[in-house]
Amino acid sequence: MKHINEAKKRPIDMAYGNTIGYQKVREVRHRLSVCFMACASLCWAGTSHADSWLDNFSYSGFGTLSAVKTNNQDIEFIQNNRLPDGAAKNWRFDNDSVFGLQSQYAFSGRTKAVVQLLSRRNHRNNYEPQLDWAYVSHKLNPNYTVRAGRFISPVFFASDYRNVNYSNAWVRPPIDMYSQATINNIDGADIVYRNFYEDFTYQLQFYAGQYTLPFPNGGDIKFHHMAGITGSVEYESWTLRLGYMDAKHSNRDGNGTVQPTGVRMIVGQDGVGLTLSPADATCAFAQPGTTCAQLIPNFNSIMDFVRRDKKPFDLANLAVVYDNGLLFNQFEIMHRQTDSILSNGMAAYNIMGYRFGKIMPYVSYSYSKTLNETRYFDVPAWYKTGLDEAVIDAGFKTIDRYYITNISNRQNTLSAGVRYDFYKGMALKIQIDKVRPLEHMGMDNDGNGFIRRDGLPISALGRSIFVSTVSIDFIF
Amino acid sequence: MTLVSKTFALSLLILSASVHAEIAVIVHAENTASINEDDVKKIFMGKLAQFPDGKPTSPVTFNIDSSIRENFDTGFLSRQTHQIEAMWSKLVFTGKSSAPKVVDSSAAALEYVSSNPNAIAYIDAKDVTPNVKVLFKF
Repeated sequence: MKHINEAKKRPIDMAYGNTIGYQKVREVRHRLSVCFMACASLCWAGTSHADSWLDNFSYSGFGTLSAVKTNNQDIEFIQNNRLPDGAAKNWRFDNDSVFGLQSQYAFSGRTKAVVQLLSRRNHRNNYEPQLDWAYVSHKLNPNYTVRAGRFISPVFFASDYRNVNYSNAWVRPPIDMYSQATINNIDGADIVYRNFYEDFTYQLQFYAGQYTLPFPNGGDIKFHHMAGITGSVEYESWTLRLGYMDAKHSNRDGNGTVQPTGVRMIVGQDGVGLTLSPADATCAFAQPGTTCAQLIPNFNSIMDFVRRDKKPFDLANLAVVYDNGLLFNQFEIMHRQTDSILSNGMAAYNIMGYRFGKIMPYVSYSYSKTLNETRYFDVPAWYKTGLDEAVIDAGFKTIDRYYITNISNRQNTLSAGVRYDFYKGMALKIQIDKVRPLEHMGMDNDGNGFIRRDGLPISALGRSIFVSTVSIDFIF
Repeated sequence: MTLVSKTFALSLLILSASVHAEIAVIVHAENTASINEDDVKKIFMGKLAQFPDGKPTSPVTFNIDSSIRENFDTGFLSRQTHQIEAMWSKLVFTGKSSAPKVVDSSAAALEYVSSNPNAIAYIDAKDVTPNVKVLFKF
């Protein structure tokens, strides 16, 4: 097995080069403020028409206090890939801990406004509450409900309540799957249709909107549009859910420039490569004045593949759940299509638990892998001959064709845990995850959910990382 | 029947009576929907938000500490109360539905049901009044 070297790491860096400036952050915060004020105004407007408006107001909350550690000093576990750092060998409380406060105002039996503030450590490494839900909904009749504002993009089975750990058996949604799409919110509108047929109850949801997701390095991923459909059917102890989202996304730095601006052409074994950019007046190792597009006929199409500029971010999802009150089993599988340097991917998990009164032990297994695409550079023979000599001179072996491939990783996780509902509205959970990042397509990698501070890529260690979590979830 | 078996049967009866008193599921007196036990289970587990005639539901439950709540959840819904709470939390914190109205007495449940055409509740069967319609008892 080969170890990834600096040259190999590059495509991964490029793919996660999400950048945004403070100006953009201010814009996001400004939009949140506007949104909040709009909701507050709506609530205030409602009060003038209600005799006892307090009767129409309700609030509720949820949260998790969680301690997490890994078994390796140099490998930090992160609950989501927007966290700037995570928990290594010492217990840390700032990974999964979260607090949410929701208020709801009913203008009438049919129309209501819902605002939910969520505080958890974010990409700026603080706990500044963010507006997670802020919408006005209107029930057209018992079957149809429309809403507009900010809500959760329901790309996965548990997306809607992924932050409400009390609602779920696990201490956190399985990283293998839920890190495939960090998207949380959507600013837009949806329509939900609910009905029943004999013993079946079913629901259809259509939604559309957009969102900008900031990352710690100052960049962002702009989702230009997100439009999707979900459908679920429940019958006795069974639930079946299907979901599909069509989206276009761009990966931008702090100045709003789409990233990456260059491409790393692999020219030798062990990932030896050259960075080529359309902006270079002279392409590396070419005659003076010859640009890369002039030298390599398919250079522009490869750049188009590499730049995540309005590229797809389409997610397909299937979930099957069985819960008879004692036995609980949940299976979910997803596929991500991006047609870019951000790989297409698939992930699946199954979690099973059995309730002994207030105690539920559970086990889960999850798996994820990227589906690689490789593009070859149509370089002139004379150019390759010259460059191969340089590769040999540098002490590396040559390859038949120069290429670029997208992010590569593969991982599985075996988890065991127990949930104990020890007090009303409170649950204690203990979970151990045995996470194994695996070499994939000849490349070692760090898997999902980890930041490696030192040493070999995690998959090259040849052993699992253990993540231990103790948490208390509550609702009120 | 021998005296011993009579005594045994009587003691069983007393035992079952002490496990839980009879519970009546009630709706508004003018609710004409044909509602069966499965419908009621779905309504109280947040799976169904309308009566079979299409009208919206407004379920009423008891305080989490009350014995009638525990009897209803475990005896009728076949779920622990914390499971029911977790199920509703998925609906409440996504804004899809409001949690059932919580009361702490049969009188409060009766008052709400008798004045709300969409209400559905359960109370100790001995507390039932003519102001409400009993769907069934268990």
